[in-house]
Formats: sequence, C-alpha cells, structure tokens
Amino acid sequence: MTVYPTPEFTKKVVALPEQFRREVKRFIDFISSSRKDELLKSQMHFQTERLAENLYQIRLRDMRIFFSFGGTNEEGLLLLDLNTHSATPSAQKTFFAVNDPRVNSAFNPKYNSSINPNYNSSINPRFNSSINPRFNSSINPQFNSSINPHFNSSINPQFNSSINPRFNSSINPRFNSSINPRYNASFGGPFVYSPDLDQQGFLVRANDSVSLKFDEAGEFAGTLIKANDQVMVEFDKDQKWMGYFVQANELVQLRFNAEGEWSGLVV
Amino acid sequence: MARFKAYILTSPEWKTFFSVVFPIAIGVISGAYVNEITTPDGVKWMRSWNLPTFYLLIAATALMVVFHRTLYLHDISIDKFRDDQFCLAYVRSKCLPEAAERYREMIRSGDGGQLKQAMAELKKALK
Repeated sequence: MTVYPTPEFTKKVVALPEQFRREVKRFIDFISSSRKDELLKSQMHFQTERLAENLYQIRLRDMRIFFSFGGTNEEGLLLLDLNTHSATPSAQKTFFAVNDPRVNSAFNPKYNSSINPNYNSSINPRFNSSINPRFNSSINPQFNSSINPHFNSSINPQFNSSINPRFNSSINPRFNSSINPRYNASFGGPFVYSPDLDQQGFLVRANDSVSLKFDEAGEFAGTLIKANDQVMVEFDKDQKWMGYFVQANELVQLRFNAEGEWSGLVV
Repeated sequence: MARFKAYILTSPEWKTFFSVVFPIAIGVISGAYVNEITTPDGVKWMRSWNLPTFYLLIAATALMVVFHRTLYLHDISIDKFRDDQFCLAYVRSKCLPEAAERYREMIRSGDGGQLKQAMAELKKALK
C-alpha cells in the first residue's frame, strides 16, 4: 500500500520519544509491504479496530494510530493522527503543540501579518463590522438567542448533559486521557494562547456547534458556540458572555473580549 | 436469567452480599471438612472421596470462581465500552473523518504535495 502521512501526523511522530517512533516505523514497514485486506485481517501483527466509516485505529502498546484508506487507487493508507498514553501526568508547564506559534512564525501574529488584526483589517472587528457583535446582531448572543445558552438549552451544558463534562466523561480530560495533554503528550492542540503566547488552556470539540474550553489543569473553563463559519462566541462556565473568536485562517483563531479588544489566539 | 444476572452485577448490595457469603460459606465448609478428615491417628486425606463436605467445598469454590469471573467480564465490558466512547470523543474532537475526506480529495485531485513532503519528513524522522 502507498502510505500518505498527514503533516499533523508527521509533526507528532517527530516529537515522539524514541521507543514510540520505533513502533511507528514497525507499523509503517508492515503496511508498506501489505495489502488493505492483509492489514484488516492480520490480527497477528496489528489489531485493527474500525471506529467509523473508513476510519480505523491500531494500538501499539501505549499508543494509538488513527488511519483511513483512500488514494488514487483506493489502495492508499492515510495516517491521520496518533495519541499516546502516560500513566503519570506530565509536570511540564507547556505542552507540545502541532502548530506552535512560539516556534513556527506562520502561527505567530507578531511575524505573520495576515493573522494580525492590527495589520489585517478583515480580521479586525473594529474595521470589519461583519465579525463585530456590536454591529452584527446575528453573532451577538444578546440579540441572537440561538447562540445564547441562557435561551438555547441545547448549547447549555447545564441542560444538555452530552456537552457537559461533568456528566459526559468522554469529553472530560480528567477521565478521558486522550484529550488531556498532561496524559497524552501527543495531544497537540488546539491550545488557547495569551497575546504573549503563553498557553492558557485547550479546546475539546463536543459537537458541530460547541467546543469546550479547559484550563491547563484540565478544569472546565467555558464553552465556545459556533455563530457562523468565521465567528465563535465564548462563555465562561457560568454561561457569562466573555467574548468571541474570529477565524483568521484554517488553523488560527483570534480571541477578542466582549469589548472587542484582542486578547489572544487559538491554534 | 440474563435479567437476574444483570441485576446482581449492577447492584452494590448483591455484590457485597455474595462477596461476604462465599468466603464465610467456604470457611464453614472447610472447618467441617477438616473436622471430618482429622482422626486421633492423624489426617486421613483418602476419606475425602466419601465426604459430602468435600464436594460441597469444591462446589462453593467453583461458584465463587464463576461469580468473580462474571464480575471481571462485566468490568472488562464496561472498560471496553468506555474506551470506545473515549476514543470516539477524541476522533470527534479532532475532526478526523473530515480531515480524512479532505486529504483523500487532495490525493484524488493530484494535489498531494503536502502529503509527499510529510512522507519525506517522516522517513527522515524514522531513520
């Protein structure tokens, strides 16, 4: 099979400790010389589990590799992602990020003007009224009840248990170590950064319209509600409106407080 | 039977009851059995085959093994379910199905430069 690793997968492998990298190499060597049916049937070398339509995982000790089939001749294998599990939490103050603005200037607004609202007016709510809740009522939770958890119970964790980490342990980093960067060193983000690029927390997507924000300790810190393709509105854990996130590009979101002041980013 | 089994496995009271009753029963039966095989001339192990307490002891031990094995399998199935759910939550959080579709489309349209570059970097990292 032809193997196609995604850039995210490669970045995670590069950051892996040596023993995990050896396992990845063993797996890639095997799939490179095997056919699709051989991999799926071969429970002897690697146990493949189907997670969803054309989405599989294999477990290699304390690591999981997620992959999918596809390509020009449907005999390709896409290596999508991986995660690792550590029995003890990491004591590090900062976590590994796939797209790290502290290392990669493409994600740093100081060096990349296209994601800096001071230089790119299209992502600055002061100049672009369509992304400013003061001028665009459809993205203002005070005027649009569908994006306000006080009026729309489906986006309120207090009423919808499926998006409440207290009741749904699968979206709670304290129980699900794969979404906890302290236990899954390959979590990779998205992380919330301050304007000075200090990591302040991370996001977990609960469903198509709701993402949950957790602080560095894994404590639930608030929700992000999708208002449209470019804007998400931010609430704290008591459902108080805190601000909004503007999509700067495919991977970067800029964080603004309710007054419209730039207060960080998410990568 | 299945409902009865599920009821016992999910009831803390029944689980405690069996966890307490089995050791007590085995203790009592063991005492009776030891009493029966002990003579003034010493322990007569060969008597065991004729003693009902010996078979009772085996039956009680077998029941205890079955109970704990069922409990273990039940716990394993819960772990498996939780693990699957946790895994799906991770997949959903990372939008992996959407990413897979995007990359498949990239390959089909011949725009796989990003992936080729990633493969070259991966090979370098795995050397």
